[in-house]
Amino acid sequence: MTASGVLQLLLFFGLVVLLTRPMGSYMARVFQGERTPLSPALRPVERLTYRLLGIRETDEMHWTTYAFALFAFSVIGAIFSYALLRLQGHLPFNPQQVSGREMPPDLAFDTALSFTTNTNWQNYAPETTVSYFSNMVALATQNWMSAAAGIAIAIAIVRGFARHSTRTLGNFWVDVTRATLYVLLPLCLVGSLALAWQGVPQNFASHTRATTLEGSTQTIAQGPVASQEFIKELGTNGGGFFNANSAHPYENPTPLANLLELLAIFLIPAGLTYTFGRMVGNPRQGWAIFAAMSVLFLAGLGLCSWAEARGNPNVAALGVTVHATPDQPGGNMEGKETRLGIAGSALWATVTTDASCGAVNAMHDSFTPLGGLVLLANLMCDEVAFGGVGAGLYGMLMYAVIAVFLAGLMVGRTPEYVGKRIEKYEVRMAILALLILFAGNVLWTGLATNVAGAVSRTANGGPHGFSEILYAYCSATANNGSAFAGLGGNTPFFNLTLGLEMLVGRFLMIVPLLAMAGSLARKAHVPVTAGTLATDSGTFALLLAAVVLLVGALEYFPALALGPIAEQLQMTAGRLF
Amino acid sequence: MLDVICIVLIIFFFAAAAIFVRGCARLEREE
Repeated sequence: MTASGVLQLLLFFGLVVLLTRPMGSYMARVFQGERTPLSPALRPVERLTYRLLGIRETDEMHWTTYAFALFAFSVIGAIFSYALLRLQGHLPFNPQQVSGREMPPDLAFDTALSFTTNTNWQNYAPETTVSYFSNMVALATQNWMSAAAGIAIAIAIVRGFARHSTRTLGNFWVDVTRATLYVLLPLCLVGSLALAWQGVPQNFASHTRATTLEGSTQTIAQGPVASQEFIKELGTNGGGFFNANSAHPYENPTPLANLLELLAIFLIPAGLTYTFGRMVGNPRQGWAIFAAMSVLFLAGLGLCSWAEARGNPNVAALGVTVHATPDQPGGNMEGKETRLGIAGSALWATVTTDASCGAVNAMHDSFTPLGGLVLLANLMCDEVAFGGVGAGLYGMLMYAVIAVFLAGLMVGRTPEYVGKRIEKYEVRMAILALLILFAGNVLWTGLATNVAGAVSRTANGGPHGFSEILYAYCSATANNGSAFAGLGGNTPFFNLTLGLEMLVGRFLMIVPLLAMAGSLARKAHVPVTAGTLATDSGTFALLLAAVVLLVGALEYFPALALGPIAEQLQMTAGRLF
Repeated sequence: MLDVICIVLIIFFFAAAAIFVRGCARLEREE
């Protein structure tokens, strides 16, 4: 990798480390109801929201009530989005005159669920399929709401660890309101303006028709992009305003815009680790989680960057220069923007699959088998290396419970974590959440690879075609939304099965984790003794990262062997797919 | 007709998820 590539990676990760504490500290204050610098402006709005919606701020919820509130919030959002997408031909802000026929029921089903579950898998080309009204009201609104719901769930689960001798985890409506008003709104306002300053369009103009130097006509898409672009990254949603997503110069016009968008993806998930530490009364617990996430992120980034910089040996055998020179970046540049290069593409791809974002600035389908393996593995490990907003933290807490359970088995002690005794029920719920995700991935992939109509939708044969299908279901389950773009997913089969799997990956994972948190909240605090496993240490961070990798390998090695590993071995033997 | 099926499917999923919540809660009480 080039020196400038290494500098990019160091600059990005250094900024993430620097921003984690202030962001986490701010969110801890917000969700503990403390005064923040924005309170004078936002507290009246917050109170008005509660009054209008009939919410009593001091009401607390049992975990089951919290889950039902999430369901009510999400089912209304999903049906609302579905209806708007189906009726878009009759609604305003439609200068490109989308008729509505572009969005048939199965595609609207997939799209509405995709945005409700924070996945943003897109089986359509946005420029020609979705009106500005649908983009703003049906899709961007869900970007906000699903992100706020994810943060709320994470905070409720953290309260399970932080509180003792209580049956409640907070109030879902209050948490969603605070996440929206105090976290998403101010950051999106500043971030969207910054992107508009960098050249991202924000208008309601119809598509521009231009004549190229060669004399042909080019249609240049326009629209309210900046306002959707920043929440797309900040909320780890990932659905592009344009089909090329963040590879499109209107979504990602400059190096500074690229850096801002990357930082926006990790900002809240990284900050939430510190929020966790603050809320359980020991910031070192949060840093241990942060360290485990960092180990996973940096290991994946290193392998992906190395594989892409090394390129395809079959191309090198043809006498083509594959190492970097002053004139070209070398490596595997297929499917990558020349302005972003190897380092910028590998960094973004790793970040977007570590978080449950799914925005892309390069085509993941064109990565080398090993580079693609890293992206798949990130999805398969349930995106816990910082992860989605909220989802990354509660996913990692699921693994933390499993890690202390395994450590307890090894030393013969009752496992404890942040002052709570971890018993049979909590371990059962953590394992249940883990298995729900695993089962969804392998069952749907197994079904799809045996349906002729599904297999014929892959652009490549052999192990690469298998990877395209596997990636699609892993992406849906993990609520990521990025794709191995070779799969033509806009069929009733894929729209239906991917839509359902997004629901499973989102909500059926949350239920057992909320149950686990509810059970933990009821327990008394256990004092630290000489026999307590220190979970705020570097050793525990390494153990946690190892457990994530070990569990992921045990679950998915056979699937990876059929996909990217087989492809890598065949590539070295000179066979490409 | 397909619209109705899609909306019913969404509602059906959340109804099933609510049953799952009750199942987890019952397991908690039993333990």
